[in-house]
Amino acid sequence: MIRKNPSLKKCQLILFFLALCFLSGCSFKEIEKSAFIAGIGIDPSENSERPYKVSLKIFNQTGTVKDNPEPSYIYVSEEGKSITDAIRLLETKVDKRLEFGHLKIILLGEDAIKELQITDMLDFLMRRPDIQLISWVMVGRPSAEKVLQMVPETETAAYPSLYNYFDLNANESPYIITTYLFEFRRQFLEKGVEPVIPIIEIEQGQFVVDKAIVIGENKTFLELDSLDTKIFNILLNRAVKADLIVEHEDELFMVELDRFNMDYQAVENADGTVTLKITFDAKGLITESKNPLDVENLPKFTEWTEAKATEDGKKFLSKLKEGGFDPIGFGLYYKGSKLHNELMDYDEWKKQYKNAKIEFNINLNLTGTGQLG
Amino acid sequence: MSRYYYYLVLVNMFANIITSVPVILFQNRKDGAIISMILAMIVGLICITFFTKFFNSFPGKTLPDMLKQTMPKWFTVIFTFVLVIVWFVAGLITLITYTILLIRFLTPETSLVMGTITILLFVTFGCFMKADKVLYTIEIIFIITMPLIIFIFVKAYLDEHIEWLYIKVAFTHINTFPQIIPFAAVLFLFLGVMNLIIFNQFFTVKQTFGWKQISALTLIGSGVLFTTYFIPVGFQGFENIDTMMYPWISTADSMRMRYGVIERVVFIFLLFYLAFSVISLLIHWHVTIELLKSVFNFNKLKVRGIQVIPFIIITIFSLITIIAVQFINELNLYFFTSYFFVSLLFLVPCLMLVLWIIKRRFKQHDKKES
Repeated sequence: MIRKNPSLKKCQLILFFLALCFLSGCSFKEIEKSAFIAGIGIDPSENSERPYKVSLKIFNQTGTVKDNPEPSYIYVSEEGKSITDAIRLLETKVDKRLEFGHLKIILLGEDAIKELQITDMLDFLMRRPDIQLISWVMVGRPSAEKVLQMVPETETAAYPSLYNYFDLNANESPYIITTYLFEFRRQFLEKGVEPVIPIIEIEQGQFVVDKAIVIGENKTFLELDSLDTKIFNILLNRAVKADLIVEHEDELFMVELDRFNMDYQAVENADGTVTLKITFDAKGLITESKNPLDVENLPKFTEWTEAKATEDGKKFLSKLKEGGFDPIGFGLYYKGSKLHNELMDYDEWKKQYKNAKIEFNINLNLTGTGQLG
Repeated sequence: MSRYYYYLVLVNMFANIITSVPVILFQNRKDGAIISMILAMIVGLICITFFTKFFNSFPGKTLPDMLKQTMPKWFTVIFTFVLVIVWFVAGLITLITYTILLIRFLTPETSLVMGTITILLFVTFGCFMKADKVLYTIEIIFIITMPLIIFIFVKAYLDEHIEWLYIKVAFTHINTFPQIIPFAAVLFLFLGVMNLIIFNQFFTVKQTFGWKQISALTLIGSGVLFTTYFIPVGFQGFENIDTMMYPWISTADSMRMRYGVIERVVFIFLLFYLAFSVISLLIHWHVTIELLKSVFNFNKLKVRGIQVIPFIIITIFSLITIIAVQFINELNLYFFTSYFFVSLLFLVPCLMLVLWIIKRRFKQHDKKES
């Protein structure tokens, strides 16, 4: 047994009370003294001295949702020499401490990505430790500020409507591309793959999210229309389900595709040219048809569907290829396929990519014609 | 082997995969990181085997005991002091790294000194516990945090946003020549076994250590190394990962729990990280203090029956740490850590040599007696 020393006990007691001093709180600011930011928008300003125009969408705090069931926000915007400069000026416009930890929406204005340096914006967003890397990056049309300030009818308090498009809990439309900040960074900085970010438009008081933009090298951009966006989403297995319209003579039916699997390869041929190979597997179900369908003809329908899908896919790929855009990552595949010192140099690869042959294999499996024959 | 032995080895591995070791590896990702990793793993396993076999043949004996029995006094004192410095610095690096990190990510408003003192308060008194109590503490923390680590690792591997092509690209740099700093950094992961110099007093029964145990450690070691290096590459890309100060924190922040109570994995990660850093620190500084005990007689200086020397040591440790925390920033911490790892390349062979001599002298001693 350890001998208990009476003075030791006293010592322990003193230590215990000393330790209480540490319970004063970690100089943590009270929650009602913080202004939680829902989204940030970056636009170019007309002032060349202060090129960045930063807009913030800040949650307006209320005691309970019952007190204020309508969504309410505070919007502020300011121009600055850099993004941080603008934010410092914004801090003077809000009485609370700006808290970026809950920021989920990063809106880049359409002109911002074209006129300003994307690397500068990325630098700001990555350098701050409190900005989540799982926030969503998107392009606002006509400007980030306009999109940020839009509050559609369907919006509920404390959960911005834009979140629903991207959080994969509510809306799972195949037209929506979700790009996280960390994905945007790695694709933007890596040679051989290019980032694709969704474009948010406003139409009659609602958001429209069905287009996307590929950000190429040296400030080149390729806008994907809604069909291309859907194909891209299907190809990269990001969509859960997607529909395909098949027309053949006077037949017209819709196929709902699911369980996709896509494999892609970039193979360097012996003569130095490149072949891009894509194999695509999917299961499908006919969901709508103009004419009655016979189940026995299913192999025929499969054939037509495959032909249609191949046509769409090839068209999409050649558009990307001819513009020199590579959002799928063939360049990355090529980089990983050989030892680093046996690769052709990057400019040569770009040239070969533009002239590459495309092999597109589709294996569809139509499982039925729905509840009608 | 006793499970406590594995805790000693694993704590060093897991506590270090997140901080400086991956940063050093990514700095050298295009010149020799992968080969350095493989080489360091082989050497590390040899070290593990050597140290374990040695201490296994003297159950219950610590290195200071053996030094006293076989070596001249002056050598014992000098060598113990070298070990004291190395183990203290190992703990210091862990402490500074974690304090800077926690303040950066968890409580940005706390001052650096305040954060340091909070951790110091627990650790300094903790490392005066007996070896068995330290090991029990480790076990409790280990059992609580291990499921979390495994959860995060499995989540990382199964995440839909991990891009294996980047990992493949990283692999294509396998044919580059290994470098000394990444080699030393990876070797450090495997040196947790060196804590046996003190903790051997706990293992009083001779343990079995054969191929089964070695292959288990090989499996865990290679898994941990693969995860450390390739998971961040899969999430952050290969080309620019060297610009990240905390690749693993960023990687944890890139994971999202859609239906979790907390959406951001990074906070869970930081918590487990804190627990691991504390036990890693506890182990290192416990060894430091036990080594000091072997040189100084703690019973000599007593005021009213209480040993004073422990308090003096705590004060010195705290002072050094608090001063160091204010001088060291992230950049020179990186260099400081690299130099520390490289210095281990000299220390480990020295220690091995000393152990070999000790073993020989014990054998001669036994022969004379018989």
